[in-house]
Amino acid sequence: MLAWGRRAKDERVRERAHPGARLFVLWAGALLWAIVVLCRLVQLQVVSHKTYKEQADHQQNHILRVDAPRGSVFDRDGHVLAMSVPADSVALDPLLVPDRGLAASILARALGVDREELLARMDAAVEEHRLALEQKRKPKGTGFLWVKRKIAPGEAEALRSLKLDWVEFRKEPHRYYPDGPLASHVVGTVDFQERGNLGLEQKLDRDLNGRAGKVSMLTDVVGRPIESTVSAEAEPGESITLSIDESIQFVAERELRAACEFYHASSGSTVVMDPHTGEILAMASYPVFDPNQPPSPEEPSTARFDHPVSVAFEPGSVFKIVTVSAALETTSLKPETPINCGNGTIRLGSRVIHEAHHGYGTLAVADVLAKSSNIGAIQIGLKVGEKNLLDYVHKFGFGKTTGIPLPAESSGMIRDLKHWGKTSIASVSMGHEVSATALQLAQACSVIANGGVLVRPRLILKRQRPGGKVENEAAPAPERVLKPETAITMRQMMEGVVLRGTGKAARLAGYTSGGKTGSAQIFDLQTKHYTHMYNGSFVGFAPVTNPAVVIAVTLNGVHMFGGVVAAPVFKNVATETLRLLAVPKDIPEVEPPPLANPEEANDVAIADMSTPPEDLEQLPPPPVVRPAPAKVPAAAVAVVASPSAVMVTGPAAPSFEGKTVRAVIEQSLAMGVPVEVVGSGIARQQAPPAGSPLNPGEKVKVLFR
Amino acid sequence: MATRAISFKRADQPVAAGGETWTSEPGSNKLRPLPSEDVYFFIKKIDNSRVVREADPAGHRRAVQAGLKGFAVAGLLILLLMPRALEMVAGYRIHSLSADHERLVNQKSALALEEAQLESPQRLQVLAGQLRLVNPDPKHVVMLNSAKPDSALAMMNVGR
Repeated sequence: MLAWGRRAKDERVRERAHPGARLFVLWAGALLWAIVVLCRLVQLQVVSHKTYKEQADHQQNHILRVDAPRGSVFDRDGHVLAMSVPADSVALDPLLVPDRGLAASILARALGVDREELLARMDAAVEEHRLALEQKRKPKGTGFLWVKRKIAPGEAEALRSLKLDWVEFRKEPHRYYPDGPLASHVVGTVDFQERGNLGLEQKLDRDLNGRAGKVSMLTDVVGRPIESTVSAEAEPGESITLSIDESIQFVAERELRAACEFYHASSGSTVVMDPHTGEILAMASYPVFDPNQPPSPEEPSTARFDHPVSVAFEPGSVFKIVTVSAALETTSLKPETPINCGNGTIRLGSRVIHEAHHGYGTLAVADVLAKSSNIGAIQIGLKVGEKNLLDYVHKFGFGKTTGIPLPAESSGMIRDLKHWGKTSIASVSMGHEVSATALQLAQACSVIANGGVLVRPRLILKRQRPGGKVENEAAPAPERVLKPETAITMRQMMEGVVLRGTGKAARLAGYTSGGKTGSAQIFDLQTKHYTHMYNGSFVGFAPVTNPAVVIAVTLNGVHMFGGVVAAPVFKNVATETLRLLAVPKDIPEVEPPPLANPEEANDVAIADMSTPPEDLEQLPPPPVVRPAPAKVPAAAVAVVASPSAVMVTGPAAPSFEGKTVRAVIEQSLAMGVPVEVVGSGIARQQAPPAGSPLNPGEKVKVLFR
Repeated sequence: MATRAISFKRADQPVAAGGETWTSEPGSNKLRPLPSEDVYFFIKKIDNSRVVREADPAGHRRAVQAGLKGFAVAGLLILLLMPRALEMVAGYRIHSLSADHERLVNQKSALALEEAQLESPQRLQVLAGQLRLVNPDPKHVVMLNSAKPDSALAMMNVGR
């Protein structure tokens, strides 16, 4: 014990003599540990830097493509015609699916896909992976399998609620056209990759699509993004505002469809245009299609043709407005100048040409247009001369495209003078040996309606990128075609067509109107003969004194004249359009009588002038028919009630005309009829008119001046 | 030499070398002697109750400095690492907000689409039919506050 005590004592003595020894040991150990750590750090961060950096980049850094949203298309009032909305697409990795049979059943039920087909695809993917492992090669495919793309929101919600962790949802843009077939030929369609393949979607695809960007993203271990760097800025697509008015477009399509179905037309076109600015308010084509649905075998083959723009046809008698305009400009002819119509016969060289219907002796130029005399038009054309006539044909915009931003625009056809035959002057005067689109006809009629200036049709009003400024589309400069007085004279003559000529079915209640009918025989390419099928047309404007709209209507492949099939469409469309545009009336609202005899609208331009018209006269007299009221589309399932079927309860509107404000108010109080006073002075007008039945609570608006 | 057994006998009274019984004296520092030994141990009780640590300003200073240095190093490390941590947290937040923003934009687009579908002319036509609304006859339409100039207003036969 003493030795032990002595030893401990020695140690304590030694310790007191050397106090840092243990500390030194401690520090040495720490230093050694630090050196080890440092060496490991150097090995990881210097020696193996590249390897680990690559691994980290691979795991953490992702280059993502940022889709640029496709621009929307609006009508002139901002209503959406086309827009892209992200839609869910469903995908999975078959290798991660626990039970492929069950998965296929679940997905088939939730998404409406074919269970067997899906299961076969999943099994094929798994088998391929297994074979690849066996053969020690890279498997074809990445294990990624689309189940269904761009599913409906309801389907996505239902599938999400199942909380299946082996199902992956991805967002893809989906193009929607909320108005369905409305303006579908103008707006167009996109394919599955959101690339335009029809209409404006195709023509302006680059502007609408924008440019995708790239983002470099740093993610954590579970894939959540931590930071991102934009390596290429995404450029969103331009949104485009059209000149189309959704309401007018709807009316035009409705009336065109009703007429085409009633008269069994193979196709049809309607163009509604502002003659002063060239803005296209509506452009309807028949047959129609739904851009929200892919093309189907049941769809007519011409459903996706944009007839007003792409399909040129021989216009027939509507072309006489060009002939007569040229005559007023280049000859001494006046509206009252008599023209010898040869009692229905004219000889041109060795050919004898007959009138399509009963012959006329002598007609004034105005009546040549009103009655649509072919002989009279030929006589006028001969006075104009080939060169002048061709010159004015070009001036009116025929034979070249209008420049409208739609694909596949037809320029129509007009031959050069050197290709004209001996009777070409006669044919062209009547609207044959030329071809034109409905849009070109509307453009030509606008020249007369706006005072003699060629205004190019405009479809785009403005463009705008999200967050960018609005860019108004510049209108092309107009070109003078006719003298203003010639245009005014032509307007008056075209009013004669409607008042006493072949266009009586185009008369409007409350507005003056003018126009020209056309019934061009259709040429059969197989038999190489003109048939007794017509392209029935009417181009016109309203009101006459200050035209607000020009409307061109064409029904192709009908058995009736343009004045019977197309003029009523003009009337219905013009009535609604003028009301929507709030154009003031210029004549009393007297409903014009219907066309009593369709023969009054006979304006057939003889196409094959070597054929006498006997075969036409042998046709049975056409039935006296009127177009059925425009029907609501089948999907709408509604019946539009006629005015007489409106339920009305209550008194009739009293007459306040000529009374002072005080007297009107006293009378209204006495009768219990609410009135709305506008202006001051004496009552000049009221709405509803006196005697009209009033609905309960309906006010009578009285205008005082 | 005494054996351990004898050394640690406790029952016995201590016996001095001369065979005398030893008793401790009060206040004495002397421990009882070992039996048969001439070795005497003395105990001294040291009262440290009045001992006060000697003031060591230098050492205190060193300790404080060491503490401050430690804090400084720790603070420096925190300062160096905090922005990175805050950056990560902010990154999460930014991307979460970005995802929310995108979700709301998509929702707005979907609502705009739904609004457009509800306002489509076809649907309004159906509703008009159900409500027995019809397009007005021309004679029921009077333009009182037309935006267009009424240069075309040739005459109004109000006396019919």
